[in-house]
Amino acid sequence: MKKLLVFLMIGCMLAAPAAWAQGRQKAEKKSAEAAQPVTHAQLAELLVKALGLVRFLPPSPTAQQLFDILMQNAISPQDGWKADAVVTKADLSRVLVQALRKEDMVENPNDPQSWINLLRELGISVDRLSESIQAVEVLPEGMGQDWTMASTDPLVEGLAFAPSTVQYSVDLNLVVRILTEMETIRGELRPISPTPH
Amino acid sequence: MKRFHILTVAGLLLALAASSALVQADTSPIHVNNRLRLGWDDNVYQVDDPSASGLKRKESFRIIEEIEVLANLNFERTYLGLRYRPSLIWYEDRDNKSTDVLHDLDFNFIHNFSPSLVLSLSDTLRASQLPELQDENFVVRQDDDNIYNSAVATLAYTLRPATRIDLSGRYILLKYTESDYVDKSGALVSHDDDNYYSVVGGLTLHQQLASQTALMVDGRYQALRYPDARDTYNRDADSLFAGVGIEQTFSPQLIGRLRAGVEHRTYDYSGVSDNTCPYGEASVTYLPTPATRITGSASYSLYESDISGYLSQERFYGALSLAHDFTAKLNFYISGAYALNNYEQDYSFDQSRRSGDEDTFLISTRLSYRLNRINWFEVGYQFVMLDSDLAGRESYKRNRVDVGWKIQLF
Repeated sequence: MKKLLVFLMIGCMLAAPAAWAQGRQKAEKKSAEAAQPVTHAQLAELLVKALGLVRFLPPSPTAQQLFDILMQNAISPQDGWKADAVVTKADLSRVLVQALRKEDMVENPNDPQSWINLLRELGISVDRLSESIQAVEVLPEGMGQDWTMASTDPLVEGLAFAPSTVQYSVDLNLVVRILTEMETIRGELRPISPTPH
Repeated sequence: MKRFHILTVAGLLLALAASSALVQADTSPIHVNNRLRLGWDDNVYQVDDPSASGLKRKESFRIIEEIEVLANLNFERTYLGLRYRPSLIWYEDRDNKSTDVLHDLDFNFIHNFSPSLVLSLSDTLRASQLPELQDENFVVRQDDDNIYNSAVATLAYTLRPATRIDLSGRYILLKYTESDYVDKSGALVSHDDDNYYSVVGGLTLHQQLASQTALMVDGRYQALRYPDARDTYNRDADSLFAGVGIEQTFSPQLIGRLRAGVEHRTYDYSGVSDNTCPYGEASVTYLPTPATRITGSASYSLYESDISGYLSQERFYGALSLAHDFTAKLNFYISGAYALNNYEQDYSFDQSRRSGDEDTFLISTRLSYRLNRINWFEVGYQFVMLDSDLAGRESYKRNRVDVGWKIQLF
C-alpha cells in the first residue's frame, strides 16, 4: 500500500509540472489568440453584425459579400477591403467613423491621424477592437442591393418582384410589396383585369 | 392567417425577452422607426371601360403608415437580429375596401460553436391581408390574403484557413387563405393551384485563392410541390444544379462576383419533357467617389412560372442602383430593375397557348433629408411598367409619388 502511495505521489509530482505547463500553454495560447492581429474579414463580420446589416446578406456570407454590403453603405478602409489584410489603427478608425456617420466631422480626411483624433474626441478607444465596436449602433438608413432578386441560387432566390426587404434603401421593397395587391405573389405583375361579379 | 399571427406574436415575444437581457448594454439593441407617407397612385387597378376602347384606370390619393421594430443582439458567440414591419396602406378612392395590411418579419440567428464551425439560421415571413376589391359590377380582385415564408439553415465548417464548406437547407412556403375565385371568363378558379412549398438542399465549397480572389463550387437539389393543385395544373418539379463562382476585388473601389452553372429540371406533368438550362449571375459594386456607390447585377435562369398556364419560364433580370450623398444630410438614391420573362409553348399545359415574352421595368428614386438626429424628410417616385404579348395578359403603366416623414423613436 505504501509503495502504491509513493508511486502515486511521484506520479503526481511528475504530472503536476506537466499539467501546469499544459495549463500555461493553454493560457498563453488563449492570450496569444487574443493578441493575434485582426484581419479585414474579421472586422467586416463584426461591423456587419453591429450595424444590423446581416439581414441584407445570404446566410453564411463570404468575406467579399461582407465587404460588398459595407461598401454599399459607404464603409471602407482607405485602401479598400482585402480578405487577409491585417487591420491597422488607421483602417479601424476610418471604418468606425464611417459606421458612426461622423465622416463630415473629420478635419483632414486624407490624414489617417485625423480619423483617430476624432474617435478620441468622441471618447472611443481604438486600442481594443472589442470595446471600439460597442460604440457602433444599427444604421438607421442601412441599405443593400437585393440578393434575392438577382440570384439564381435556389438557396437564395426570392419571388420575382416579390416582397423583399432590401433594394438599396430606395424602398423598392415597398414598391414591390405594394405590387402584391396586384397579385404579384400569384405572379401577375399588373393591376388585375375585371372579373364578373 | 392564424399561423402568421402565432409567428408574429412569437417573434415579438422573442424580441421582448431578448431586450430584457440587454438593458445593461451601452447602446440600445432595440430600435423603433415610424414612417408616414402621403402619396398619389395613378393606377391602383385598371378595368375594361365599356364606354371607350381600352382600359380605365383607378387613381387615388393614399396614405402609408409603417412601423419598423429592429432588434440587434450581439453576444460573444451568438448574434440575433429581428425586424418586424407592419404597414397599413389606405386609399382615399378605392371601392369596397380602402385598406391593405402587410406584415414583414425577418429573423437572423448566428452561432459560433467554435472558430471553425458556424450555424446560421434565417427566416423571412411576408403576410398580406389583401381584401376583395370591386369596381361597379366587377370584382377586380378576390380576397388574396396570403403567407410567404422562407427558412434557411446553413452549417459552415472551415476546413483550413482558406477553405470552407457550407451545408445548407431551405424550406419555402406560399399559401393563400382564400381558396376559390371567379376568373375573367366567369369560371371558378382555385387558389389551391397556386399554393406551393419547396425544399432545397445544397453544398458549397469556398476557396480563398489570394487576398483578392475567392472561388466557389456548388451543388443543389430542389423539390417544388403544389400539393393542392389539380392534375391538369400540376407544376411539381425536381431540379439539380451544379455551378462554379468567383469573387474578385479588382481595386479598392470595385468588387465583383460571377456565378454560372447548369440546371436540369424534371417535371411531374407527363406532357412535357425534361428541361436542361444554363444559369448565370453577376454583380458589381463600385465606389467612384467616397460619396457615391453604384451597384449592378444581372442574372439568367429557369424560374418558377408567373402564369399558371405554364410550367416554368426563362428569366433575365438586370438591376442598377446608385446612391449619392450630396451632403452628410442630403442623400439621393435611384434604383431600376428590368426583367424579361420568356414562356415557351412546349412548357405549357395547354398547347393552344403560344410562346411569348413579358417585359417588366421598375424604377424607384428617393431624396432624403436628415432634419436632425432622429428625423428625416423624404420625397419618392416609382414607376412600374409591364409589357406583355401573351394572350389574356394586359400591359400597364403605373406612377406613384409620395412625400414622407421618418422618425427614429428610439
